[in-house]
Amino acid sequence: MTVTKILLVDDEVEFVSALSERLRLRNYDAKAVYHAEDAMPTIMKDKPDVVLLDLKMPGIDGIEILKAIKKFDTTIKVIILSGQGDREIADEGIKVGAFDYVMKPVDIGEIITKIEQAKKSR
Amino acid sequence: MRKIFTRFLNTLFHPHDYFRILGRDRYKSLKIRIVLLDAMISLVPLIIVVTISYFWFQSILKEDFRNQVKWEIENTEQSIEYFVDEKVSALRFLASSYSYEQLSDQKMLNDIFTKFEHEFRGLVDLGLIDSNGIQQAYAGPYPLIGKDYSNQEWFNEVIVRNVYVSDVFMGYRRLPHFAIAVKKNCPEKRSFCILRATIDMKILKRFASTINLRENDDAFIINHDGILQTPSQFHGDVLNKFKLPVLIPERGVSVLDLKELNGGPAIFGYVPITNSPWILVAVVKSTPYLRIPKIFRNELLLISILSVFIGVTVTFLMAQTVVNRIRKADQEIEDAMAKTEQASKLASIGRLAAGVAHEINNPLAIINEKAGLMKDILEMSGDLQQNKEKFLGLISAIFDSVNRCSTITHRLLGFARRMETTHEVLDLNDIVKEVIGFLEKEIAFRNIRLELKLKEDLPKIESDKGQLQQVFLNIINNAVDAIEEGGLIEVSTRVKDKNTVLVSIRDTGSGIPKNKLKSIFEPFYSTKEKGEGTGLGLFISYGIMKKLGGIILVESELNKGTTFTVEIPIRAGDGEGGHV
Amino acid sequence: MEFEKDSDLRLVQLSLIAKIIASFTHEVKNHLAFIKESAGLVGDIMESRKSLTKQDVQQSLNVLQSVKDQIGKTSDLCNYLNRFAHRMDKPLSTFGVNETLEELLVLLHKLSSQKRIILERDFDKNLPAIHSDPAKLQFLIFCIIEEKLRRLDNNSRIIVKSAHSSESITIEVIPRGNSVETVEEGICPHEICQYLIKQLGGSISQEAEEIVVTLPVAGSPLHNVP
Repeated sequence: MTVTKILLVDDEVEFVSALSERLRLRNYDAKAVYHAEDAMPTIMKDKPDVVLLDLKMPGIDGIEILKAIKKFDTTIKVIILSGQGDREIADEGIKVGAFDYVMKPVDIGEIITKIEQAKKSR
Repeated sequence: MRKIFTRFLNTLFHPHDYFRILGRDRYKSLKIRIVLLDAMISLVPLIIVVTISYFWFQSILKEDFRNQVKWEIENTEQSIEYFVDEKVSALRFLASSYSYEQLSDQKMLNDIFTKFEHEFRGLVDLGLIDSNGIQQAYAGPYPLIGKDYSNQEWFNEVIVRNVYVSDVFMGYRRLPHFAIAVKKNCPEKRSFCILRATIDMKILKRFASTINLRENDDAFIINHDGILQTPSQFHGDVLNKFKLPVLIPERGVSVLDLKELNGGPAIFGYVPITNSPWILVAVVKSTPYLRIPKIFRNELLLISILSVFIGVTVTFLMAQTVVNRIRKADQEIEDAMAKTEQASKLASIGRLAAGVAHEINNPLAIINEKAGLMKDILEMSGDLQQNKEKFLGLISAIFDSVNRCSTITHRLLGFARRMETTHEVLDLNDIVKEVIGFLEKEIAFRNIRLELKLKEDLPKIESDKGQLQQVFLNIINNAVDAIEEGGLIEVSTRVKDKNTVLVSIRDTGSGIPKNKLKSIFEPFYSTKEKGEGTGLGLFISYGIMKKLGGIILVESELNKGTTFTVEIPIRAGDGEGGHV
Repeated sequence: MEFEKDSDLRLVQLSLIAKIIASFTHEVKNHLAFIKESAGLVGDIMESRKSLTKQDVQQSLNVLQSVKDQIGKTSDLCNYLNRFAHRMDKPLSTFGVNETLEELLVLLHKLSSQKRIILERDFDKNLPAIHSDPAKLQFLIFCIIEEKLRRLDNNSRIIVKSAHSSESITIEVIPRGNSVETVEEGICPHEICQYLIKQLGGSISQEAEEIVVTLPVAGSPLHNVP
């Protein structure tokens, strides 16, 4: 069984570093980028299986990144990390091609389940 | 004089320079303006009409008087004319009734003279003159038998004209007379003779005097050369030249108005007396028409005063009503604005609450992950040694996030608390400094120099911090916008009196034109581009200060700058009570 | 005058919201304090030991789990605040009454627990949606509950019950406990409640201490809609 490659894109460093460490403890190959500009180059280089994407990063329209990822490689599954009040934007993300979304603060069990679902659907 | 007039006009059209700009004074000045303008508009026509009526009435009376003078002159002329005609007829009758013999008979002539004189007042003498001009017979007081009149003008005239009335002349004994002569045919002598009667001028004078004269009036007779035939009161005695040159028509009365005759105006009337060499003249200086009956004038005055009084009272009452309605309407707008303000407060607090709920997610998520990570590590390897540092780091991160959450919710709480007007004891200088703090970056960015002159030991005030800051923020923001680039903003605080402190914000910006000064506190007044600013800032600020018992004042000069002064009561005012 | 009433209304509304925010903040602070303490506890354990016993590990795990639970609670609370705040967005919308009541009760939890008064729900699961002003409704129910909170003795209960008929929805506020005399002035004067219910097109009735608010169901005309 191949190790699932996961890329986390979120500007909240503390959060995303802890989460990616937790994923690594669970045998995922998890990596994090903290700046939106780094997202695409890293994706293109590393070709992750699943991307965990925060849509509400300052200055950059998360939806645009989502579209770019999908354009780059439609097999990459994107799971949206969304805040409590952002149901609308999460729905919009789904429309644009995201696989699913989780609400912050995240439940690790829920995220794992969704990652597995995403991987299976590839 | 000119200065007073200018000030009056300014008060009328720009009263705000002379009254305090806002608050109740705004309505007072509006009221005064309305009353003044209205009073002017209603009084001026009244005065014009009254004045016109007065002088019109006067001129009618004058005209009337003139006509009266004319009529009297006419009448007198007629009388004199008849008198002359009568005398001429009488003489002609005499001439035709008696023969030359009879008339040349001295005794007979005397007799005729005596009888004639009886009927004929003023007859001085009677004489018969032959065709050579020699007086053949004479009845009268003077020794004139044999006098030669052949060279005299009247003699030649009467030969041609058959009848002759002479001018007045100085007779024998230096008494003025005039003569009437008629030509008689004397067939016996195969020639003519002339019957001549001399008449005392006094007769004429009596006629002239019949014109109804008052003290300064004068009536007299002159001849066509202007020589006085009767004595005049002011223009000389008999046989003097009458100074006024007149254009004598052939017939009819002429009445002239003379502007200046012996120190005043006069009515000058004259008429040539038919069948005589004379002109009847009347110079009327009296002006009875000017004595307009006192009653009329008093009535006029009374009515005018009453009208003025009623007019002003009604105007004032109307102005009062109108201005009260305006004030009420303004109040309604202000209330609507307050309502909008509150609605927007509600909206903003709603947004803030939603924002907080949102913002808090991130730190919560962090705590969640950190704690989760710690759990994972503990579960997977209970080994402390390796991971001690890491754990402590994670726990520290949790603390940080907790603090972050605290800050966020605290901000929300502070805002909510400030939504209601609270009265807390405040240091005005601190409040000002805090507001400056918000704007420091912008001020520095625009190269504006900032000077703070905050009085030390300023007494503490009892008021609402949030609202005061809102007001200061608004005014200083306006100052920054007025300057644009470079320039100075000076903020100072000081004590005004034992009940009030004040904050002055002065800028060296573009200034506000005087005619706009009164409007800046009105809702929706803005000098900014459409879309920038709501125009409500100063309006709301003014309302806030009013509620807090203070007031905002402004002074400005175009291109020099503007100074806003905010007066704040030291003890909390109860709404509007403090400062109207 | 209408706008006078309206402006009084908003002032009261503002102070009610201030109260809700205060209650919310209080509760969040408590959660945060707990989290901090818990984290501190784990830290102490870590620092003081050279190596961890099984007990230590278990204890730490428990503490950490409760931290996560607290996070969940806090997050839920914020969610409710968010929804409550958004109720004010539109003066008219179609919404579920139970949800609005739930928001209110959750946010008022801290406030009521100060007097140890329990807020209970008895919601009709099949309540139809209504088309009305949700913020005003919450405002009105808050006014009623706030009055009850003041008037009840400690350790009492307030039951909020929702029910419906074909034409209307009823919300009952049922206090259970002893009344107390209170000099404390309520935020919401009686006239405001009357004004609100009129604006909502419904009616209020009172039986003993129980208050019943009746509202027309979606489709019924609303009076005084601005």
